[in-house]
Amino acid sequence: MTAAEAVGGRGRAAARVLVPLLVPAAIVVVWWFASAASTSPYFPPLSRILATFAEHWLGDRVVSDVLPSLGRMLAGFGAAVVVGVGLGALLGRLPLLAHALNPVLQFGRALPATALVPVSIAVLGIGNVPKILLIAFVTVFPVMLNTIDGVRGVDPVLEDVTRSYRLTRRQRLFRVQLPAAAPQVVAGVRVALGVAFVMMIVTELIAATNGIGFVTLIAQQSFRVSLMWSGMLLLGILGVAVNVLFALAERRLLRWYSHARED
Amino acid sequence: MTSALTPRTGVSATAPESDPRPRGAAPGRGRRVLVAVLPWATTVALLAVAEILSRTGALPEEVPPVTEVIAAGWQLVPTATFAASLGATLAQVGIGLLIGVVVGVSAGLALGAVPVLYRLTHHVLDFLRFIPAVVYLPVLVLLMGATPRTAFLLAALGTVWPMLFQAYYGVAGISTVLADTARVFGLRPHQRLAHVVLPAVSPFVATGLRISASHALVVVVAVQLITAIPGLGRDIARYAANAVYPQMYALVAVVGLVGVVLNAVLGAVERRRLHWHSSYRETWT
Repeated sequence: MTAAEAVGGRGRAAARVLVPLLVPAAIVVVWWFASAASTSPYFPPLSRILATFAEHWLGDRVVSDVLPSLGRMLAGFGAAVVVGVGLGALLGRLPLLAHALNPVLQFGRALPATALVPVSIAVLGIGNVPKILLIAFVTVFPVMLNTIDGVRGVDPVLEDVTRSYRLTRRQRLFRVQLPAAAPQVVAGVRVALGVAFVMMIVTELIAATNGIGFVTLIAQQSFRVSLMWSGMLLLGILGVAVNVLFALAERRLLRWYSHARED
Repeated sequence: MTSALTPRTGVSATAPESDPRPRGAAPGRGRRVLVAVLPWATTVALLAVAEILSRTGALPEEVPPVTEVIAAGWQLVPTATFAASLGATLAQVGIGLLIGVVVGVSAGLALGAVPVLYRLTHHVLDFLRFIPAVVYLPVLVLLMGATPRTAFLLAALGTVWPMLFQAYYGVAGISTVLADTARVFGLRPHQRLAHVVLPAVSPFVATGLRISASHALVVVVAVQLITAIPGLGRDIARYAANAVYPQMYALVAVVGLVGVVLNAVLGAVERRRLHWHSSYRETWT
């Protein structure tokens, strides 16, 4: 890096972009060549993993497994966001009710979501709807609790101002309370997204018939190691992609907020 | 907000909620007692409703009455099997957390202390942090089999990323004035670590620990469900498979309570650290 800095100007700019790419590139290159001649049943060559990836995850399995997985996750997560923000806004306006329900809500949040998978199978059975309902149920808590906190934390002066300007209840909710609570709501939604992704995988590891997690686990159990690695690779890429997309959406949604904080 | 000055047509729309107190509640001590009792009274009432609903057959057969669940729990909790499963679960979570904290915090401190290291690796770290630990489950089971080691290594994988980034943020947030002062006063590296770095990092680490602990519990329960490693998750799966529902719900409640206790303990630790942190800041700036 010191050599690059000595070149100055353009060289430094190039170094700023290139230096962080060194290690990721090195990892891929080392993985590629170190595994190229591998005969280990556990660590197949990277080239074979990528070939399997293209064959399965860019082929028929997009429709049979990838889309069902993502669809279940998004359906559950989307329902949880709508219900969580709605109930959260309601409970945020009714502090006594929120107080009364507090132990139940805190328990719901602290309960490890994965423990409910057998319960959902017992009560609701297997298939898409139970999985979606379970994902929605466990992700609603972080959204709802953060919305309650956010709505309740609205500056009382702001509340008084909106009242004296005689905004309708609807206007106060959508123009003032929810926007003011947005940073906290979004923080809750981010937690919910992480939980939804984990639950997407775990619900497919128990009593499932399709999905990325299902294929990956079956591949492991039937010793199709390249398919297992390629499934893990896909899950990893999806995990990153989902978070990156959310970060972009968050930046757009909260742009006014970061502007306001800079002022 | 052009409509801000439009007069409202409905007159009484906001009148009741301008006073958050419930109408008719006694002020003063009576109210305080009422407010303190309310959450638990509500919880008991909700459980009673669930009891009535399942006794009258309004709920499906798979949802037994609450009293049956409590009775099952009452019988289950004193048994040696339960103690072994609870102990195994706590041990797997605990060992995983310990490994994750040690590895994550030391890596985070190193990244914070050596900026080049961070620049070189941050793309990789940003990629890896978003991969949930359960993704590694198949390969760990393949390599190590269904053993407790798989469970605590997965828990460690879930812990290491939040800890690493929290520790890094903590170090990166140390003010240059503070760092320079320590250097000018001739503090040695180990003294700087003990008196400057670790105190600055500890509130961040406390927050990371609270987040990680719930991750670790989720992951450990998942591994137990899927691979039948000893623990409460495995027992829940077994009771579910054999349709012994009161026991299943009792154990789910126990796992939930473990989560609540873990949250409460680590939340208290975090508040103490943060309290210390803010007072520290007030003295220095």
